[in-house]
Amino acid sequence: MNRLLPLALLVAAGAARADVHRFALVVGDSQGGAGTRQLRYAERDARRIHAILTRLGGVREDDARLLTGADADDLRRALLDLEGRARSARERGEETLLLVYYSGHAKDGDLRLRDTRMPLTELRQRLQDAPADVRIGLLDSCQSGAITRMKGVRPAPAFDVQRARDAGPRGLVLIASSASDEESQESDEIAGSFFTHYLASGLLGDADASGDGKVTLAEAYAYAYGRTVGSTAETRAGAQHPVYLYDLGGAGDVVLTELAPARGGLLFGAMDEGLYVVLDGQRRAVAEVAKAAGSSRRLALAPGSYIVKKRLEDAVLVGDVKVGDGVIEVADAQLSRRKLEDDPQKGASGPRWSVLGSGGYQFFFDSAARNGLFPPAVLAGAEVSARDDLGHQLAWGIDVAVGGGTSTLRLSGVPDIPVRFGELSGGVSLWRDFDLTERLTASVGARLAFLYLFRSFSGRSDLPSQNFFTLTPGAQLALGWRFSPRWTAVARARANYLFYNVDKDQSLGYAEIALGVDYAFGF
Amino acid sequence: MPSGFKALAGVLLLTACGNLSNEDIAFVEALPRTGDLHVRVPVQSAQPACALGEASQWAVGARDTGDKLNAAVDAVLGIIDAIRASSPTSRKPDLRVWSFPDQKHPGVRIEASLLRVATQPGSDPAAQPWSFAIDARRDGGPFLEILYAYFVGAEARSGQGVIAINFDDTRALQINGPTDPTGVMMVHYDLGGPARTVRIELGATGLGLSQFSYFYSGNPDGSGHFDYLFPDAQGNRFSLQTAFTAAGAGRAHMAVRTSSGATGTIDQCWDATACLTYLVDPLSITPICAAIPAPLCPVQGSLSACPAVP
Repeated sequence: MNRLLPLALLVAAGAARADVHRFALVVGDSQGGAGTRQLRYAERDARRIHAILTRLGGVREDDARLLTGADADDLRRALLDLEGRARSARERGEETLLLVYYSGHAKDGDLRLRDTRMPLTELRQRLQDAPADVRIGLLDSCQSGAITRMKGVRPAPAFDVQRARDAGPRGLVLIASSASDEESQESDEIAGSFFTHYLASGLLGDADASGDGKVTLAEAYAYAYGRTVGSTAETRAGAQHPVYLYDLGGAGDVVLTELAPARGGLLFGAMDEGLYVVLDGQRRAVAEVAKAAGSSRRLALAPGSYIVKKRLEDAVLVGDVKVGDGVIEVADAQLSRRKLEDDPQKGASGPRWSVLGSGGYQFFFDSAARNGLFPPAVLAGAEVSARDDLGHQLAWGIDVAVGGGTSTLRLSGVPDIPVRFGELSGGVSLWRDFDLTERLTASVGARLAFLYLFRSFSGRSDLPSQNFFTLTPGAQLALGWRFSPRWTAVARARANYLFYNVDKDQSLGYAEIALGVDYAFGF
Repeated sequence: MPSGFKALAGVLLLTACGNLSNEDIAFVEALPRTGDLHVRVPVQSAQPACALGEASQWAVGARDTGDKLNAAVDAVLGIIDAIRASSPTSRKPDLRVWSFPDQKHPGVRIEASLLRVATQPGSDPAAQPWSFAIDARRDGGPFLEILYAYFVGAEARSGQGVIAINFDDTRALQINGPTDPTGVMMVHYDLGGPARTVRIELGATGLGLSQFSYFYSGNPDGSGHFDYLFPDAQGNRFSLQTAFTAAGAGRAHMAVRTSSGATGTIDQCWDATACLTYLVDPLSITPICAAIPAPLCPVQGSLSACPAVP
């Protein structure tokens, strides 16, 4: 199977995107069922591609389907739905394009979606028969190249010049991230799979070899192919070779993204050269630009805050950029020079540190405890956490909090006794981050903390002050919304177990609800 | 309970420590405080020139005697206050034990135990009985009971009780004070009714007081009764039954045994400034009558000048 598209031919034939009604089904599934290992970034990859297609790829939100954590039947239903919409559009006389992207497990000729399977032959047949003028399958999964080797598909035909004059491109294109005997690799450094990362970078603009502001299917493939092979050549699993099956007739290539309509972006000037990495606020790569001197390159990024960095031999150049409606020009001279060991990503080592300040409320579930020994308390706390230290999107943190309040001790037959109480707590946490969107992250984890409670009785100096110390294991759930590269608003809930043993042995539970702001150090 | 949960609970049990306890507070609230059992004799206002030319020495004596009684009670209840201010060393559902070395008396160890006597579920908290004891030993010797008490009520401030202090045992343990009496001193109190009553039975002279059964009853408005024994500098002993108003005016009926062995009674009243307003002294003991041979001292003042007392 050829691995390089006849690029020159396609570029020469011109490209077309306008007036094509586009439909996209984007699937990301990290669970492959029995015999597979959980993928770390499949769902993030899917969200990236979905965002690019709806923002730059001419796919309307109504015509896009994003499936994460779905099974094979969900995929079939979504595909059927889009086929129906494409058929309707076609009947209205519209040019149509259907793109299916899949990031997940594939094994033994099947896509693996949790405990369900969808044969590659079925997917290919569905694409072949789909009522759209152009059908594109993009598969980022192990051994996905098998889909291009199935029987029943004719090889790419000779280009029909006569027909090209009359109509746009028509046919089927299948692109797979790896050959039928290769693994598709993920990278913690880029927080995604190699292939999708470079595909995304290319679609955002770095693949625009012609400089016409459009990224065609051929440009995107050629770019992703080159960067994927180059980046995986030194990995333990060995080089990963994307493959394609191209059964496309008609005039011109398929334009996947257009940069011009996008409101903003980054422009890498003609003077500079080298490899630039663009990170989002969570220090994850969203795109790369590999450029030579003499030509500029534009990345059509969504509005937001980014970090641009460029590695040199002995240092790293770093800069913050805020993308809005306009195009921001990036030049080496504007970037700050840092030591290599300060680079938190792409070859750098060490964790990303952040500090969270929070205020919260603590209450015990048991009403007797809440109204007696453990009244509700107001807490203020701080937490130092480290990400990218343990891999697997795991993070850990050390926290401390102080709090207290006033209450009333009510004993049978005794006048109420005013109580002033306080507490000091601290703990270590381990959690995993789940990126729900580019800005929204959910975290689930566990925490082991100490809790020191103390109280005194106002106006009753004859009564001794009291205290209690214990360890409390618990679970925590948090939502973080990143509103700038360094700042994230955090809402967090914890449920803890407390063993009380002074008056009597008692198992108690309590919750802490907190709101806070997290500040990330580094870049 | 799953074994894993048990193991976790075991680990947490080992790490859990402290004295955070509502029950501890419930226990110590049953113990009387020093101020709870005080005799409160009204303080008279500034004394002008008295119409009968003399102030009531017994009105002043009542305060002095009350102060001595309060000091005696405080000496006992001070130990309880110290216990209240510290955390128990041992806890069982209806028992708290405090065990600690006596800082004032090296070699002496004190153990106090407070037992909540079981009652029927739903019983009135005001009827909750408690049994309290303080024992001590010196240098590993046997424990001797220095105090035993029985209280009723969830809160001593509104409860009843009796406290027995064994001064013979405190002497045996060499923790007694120089003026302590011998025998057993009993303190009965009832703080639950409209009138606070405290009765102290002193088995022997000591603590600056004479052997007597002192009785005090104080009303919420400050008025009350106080029965006490008062020896004067001439060797006369007066057993007084006094009643006073909140302002300090009062009247007294005294049984007298003179230093010469004569007996009799004296009645007198005084106003809020402690000036005598009425006196019947057939023994001619009071300064007003001292120059008149008994029983010729006439009635001084008017009975109508006597205050209305409880």
